[in-house]
Amino acid sequence: MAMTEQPHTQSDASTKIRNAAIEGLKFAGLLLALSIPILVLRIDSDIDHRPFLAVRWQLPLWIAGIGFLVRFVTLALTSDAPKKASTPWNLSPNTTRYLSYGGIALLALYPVIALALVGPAGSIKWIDNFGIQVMIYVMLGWGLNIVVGLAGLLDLGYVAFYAVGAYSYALLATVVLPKYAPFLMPWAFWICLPLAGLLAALWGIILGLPVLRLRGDYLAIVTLAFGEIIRLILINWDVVTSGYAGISGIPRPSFFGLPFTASDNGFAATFGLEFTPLHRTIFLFYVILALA
Amino acid sequence: MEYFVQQLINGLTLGSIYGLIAIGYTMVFGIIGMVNFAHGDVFMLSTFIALIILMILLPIISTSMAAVIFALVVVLILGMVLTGLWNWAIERIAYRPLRGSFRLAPLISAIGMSIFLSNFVQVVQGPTNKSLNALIDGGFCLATDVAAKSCLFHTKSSFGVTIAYKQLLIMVITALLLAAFWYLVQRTPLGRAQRACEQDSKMARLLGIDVDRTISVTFVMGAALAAVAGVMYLIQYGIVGFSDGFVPGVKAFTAAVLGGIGSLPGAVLGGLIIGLIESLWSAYFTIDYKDVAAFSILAVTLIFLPSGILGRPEVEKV
Repeated sequence: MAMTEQPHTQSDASTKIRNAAIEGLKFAGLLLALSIPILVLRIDSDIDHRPFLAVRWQLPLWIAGIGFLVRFVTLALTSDAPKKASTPWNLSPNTTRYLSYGGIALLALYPVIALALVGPAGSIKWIDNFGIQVMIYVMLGWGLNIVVGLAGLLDLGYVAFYAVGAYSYALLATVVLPKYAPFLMPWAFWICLPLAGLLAALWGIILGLPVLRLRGDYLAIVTLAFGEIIRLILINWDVVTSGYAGISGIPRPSFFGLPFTASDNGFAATFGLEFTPLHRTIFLFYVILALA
Repeated sequence: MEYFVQQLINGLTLGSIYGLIAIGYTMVFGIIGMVNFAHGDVFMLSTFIALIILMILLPIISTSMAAVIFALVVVLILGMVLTGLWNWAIERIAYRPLRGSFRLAPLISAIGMSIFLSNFVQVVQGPTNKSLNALIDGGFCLATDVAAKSCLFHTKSSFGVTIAYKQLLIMVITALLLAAFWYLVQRTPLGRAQRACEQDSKMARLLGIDVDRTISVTFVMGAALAAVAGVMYLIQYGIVGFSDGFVPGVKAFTAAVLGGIGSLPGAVLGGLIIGLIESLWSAYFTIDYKDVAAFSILAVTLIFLPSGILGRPEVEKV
């Protein structure tokens, strides 16, 4: 039995390798054909701004070579048996609950861990750049999950509301509040935060009412168009938004009225702590966490 | 009046370019019901390919008029072939594996492809805008106030009206290509197969039509038209950058929807309307908000007139 089987499988394996090689060569040829004009020749300009073509031969050859190897190896190593349909991770409800509790606990402890590991000077990078950034994305992801995940509407203009919120906060805190209610300035963050949310929600209603007559692809495109419209208006409406220059001097958040500054009535002095900008970032981190 | 006529001519030129891109959208949407979001970036890529080929041919071009025409023909053919190959590969890699997946998967994949293409060109060709000296100079003078100039009409207004040869060329080529593709879709076996797939791909497959191949051919045809539009764009504006694909792409999609998606003449009609609106808007209102105008038209059309001007009302397939 074994004697008769042997040559058969061997020829099978060799044809398979040959086929894989042919497929790999085809793929490499395609990559070469695709990349030759646009990769080999690069439009450059010399010192007098006269355009000329810079030539580089190696790059497409490397790409084609790598493409051949990848295609050859994947084809030669995969079995001919029909692929099993991949099943999504089947987590029991309990596991998911533990995972989300664990995630929240990790997030809550994150500033403490960062402080303990790299000290106050090093951890500002980790909390400010990464921690708060991550939390902002978490918030965005939450909102998008409501629209796309729960309602099933692919909204490509979702960031427009992010922009509306940011600009509402900035304009309210730098223009409206100082003019009409300057005594409220220490509380600027706490007043403008819900207002910005309300304004963004209002815009969501204004844009949502007409748009929700559509479904599927058209909905995606219309929301994309609205996102672009809002972006273009924000860039071009110089009088209000100061265009590309943006708005600066936006009031920082305060600890319920106490500013995070080095002054005598600041947060650090009131609680008898040494001043560091870290307090503000840590505080902001927990604000976002609480909101989420 | 002269100003208006001049803007009309500019708008028709711009509209022809949008119309050529819009045909690619309309054909792909008609056959697989998918918004090929990367089409605008395929157009941008084709412009780069055309620019590179033109720069290779630059030594010949300066010799004579016949050489310029020869170079244009070479650029058109090579550009169509290469861009077609690109779009074929994109369809194979990014869209075909997702066919039969949930409805929005190809759209999301196309958005990814669009981002990939513009970043690919940015990395490979550099982020600066690339320019080209004007290939075709001069034009017909339609109206002027300069007495010495030979012209069709003489006016008192300080605005002259000229139609550049390149604008004429763009409009003529658009008209010719529309006629050719209209014939291809309506009268040839290939076009019949395409229309069959559009109506009912399962039935078409039962009748022995290679649906996959037909779809590939559709993508290649759309890309070829985008390549022509790319060459025209290069002739008209002489400048291109890696990020120039998105906005013309969205405007061309607007044109396709406005004209009635799935209809070839509708796409060109929509393109002309969008081009006219854009140039008249820039001329009489403000140039800052011309893209806002185009996007607003897109939104309003999709919401209130989803079947377009020449399209047939369709039962919503969700």
